[in-house]
Amino acid sequence: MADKKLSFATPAEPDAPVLADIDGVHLRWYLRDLRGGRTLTEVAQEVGIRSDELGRIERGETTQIRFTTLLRILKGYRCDISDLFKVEAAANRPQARYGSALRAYQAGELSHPGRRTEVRGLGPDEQNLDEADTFAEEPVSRRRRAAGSSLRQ
Amino acid sequence: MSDPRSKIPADEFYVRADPPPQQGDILIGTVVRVVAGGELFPRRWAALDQAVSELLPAGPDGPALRVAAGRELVMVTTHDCGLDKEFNARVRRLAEAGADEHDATAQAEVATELDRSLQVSPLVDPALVTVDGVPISSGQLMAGKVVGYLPVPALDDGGQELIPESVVDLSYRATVDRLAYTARVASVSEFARQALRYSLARLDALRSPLVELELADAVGQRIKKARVAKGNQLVVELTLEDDSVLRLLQQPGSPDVGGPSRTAASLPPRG
Repeated sequence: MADKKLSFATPAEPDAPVLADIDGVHLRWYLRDLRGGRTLTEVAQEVGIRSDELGRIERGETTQIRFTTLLRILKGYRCDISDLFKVEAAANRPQARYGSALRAYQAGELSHPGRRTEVRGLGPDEQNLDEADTFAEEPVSRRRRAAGSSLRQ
Repeated sequence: MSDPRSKIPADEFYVRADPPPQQGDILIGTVVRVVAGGELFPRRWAALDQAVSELLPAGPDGPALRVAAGRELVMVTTHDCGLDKEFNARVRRLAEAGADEHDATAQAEVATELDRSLQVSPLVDPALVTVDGVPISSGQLMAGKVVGYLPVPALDDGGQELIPESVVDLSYRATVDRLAYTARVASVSEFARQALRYSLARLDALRSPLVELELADAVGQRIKKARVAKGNQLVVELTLEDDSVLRLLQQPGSPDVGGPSRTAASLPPRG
């Protein structure tokens, strides 16, 4: 299949773990970055908890943490509480792409309102009810109504 | 017939006209889909999920019903013959019963029970299209070589980019009320509509992008016309350049069996 021949770009580096996500706004956790070059075991001893437990905390896998543990972490990682978290605002979230078109519409610059209802000819599926061909060459007739139908403006 | 996979330049893709609503129209519209919560969705849809709402709580009849919805540039995928089909049928019936066209259309316009829905697919940023987190080459996407995506060139109107270069994500199809869109931004050429129909057929039924091209190569002639044979809708008759007719039986494509499949982790939560 053609899909197998696709060329791929290099994937992006993974980001810091997300502790919470509300409507695309992420609370990111930077504890691993703050450890720098020190080993997990070394820091775990300084914090006073097991290294496997600290590893889970670093990876954002722990859902709850005691205030006393948090305080020990701040001491062991030699950082302030504001260093631990960042709120990743929606700026990183892909934006909708209709902004420019909407401004043009609001400025009355779009020349294609496209709201009319049209009386069309028979569609091919209706023609098939009593005719042999599935594909119609053209609609039977194409009568148009003027703009400003009952459709909401 | 030209290669429908080729990238279509903007001046051949868009038309400067004000036709009635048609397949391929690009609207400022709305899309909506059912979600189960969490983050299990493609990032290319993140811009579309402007509101996520729980409509029904979880209960004995199933998990919670949540929908994600948003406004975006969308392309109408409904075939012209399906647009306002019931409206037209009502007008014809009224006309046959003796009403003049004006009265017939006026009556049909206010008949709220007539289906006025259309199907749309959103335009998404090609840079956000990935497979398992790995971006797909933008060149492949914009050349129309990736199943499920129709390339849309940028539309520049007097220095203002009304439509950024995009792909229509045909895997996201929403059925929406035609009154739910804001405005039509552009209409497309018949050639662009052909490319859309080809992409839809390729995604849902044919899968192979090479059928028409291989046929043309094999018979050494362009294909002038295609139609379903009389009496057998699985047989396609191709009229060639020299007016000879080739009869083919189309087999829908299917994926290979035996691949990985989702497990219990993908099932909706109970309760």
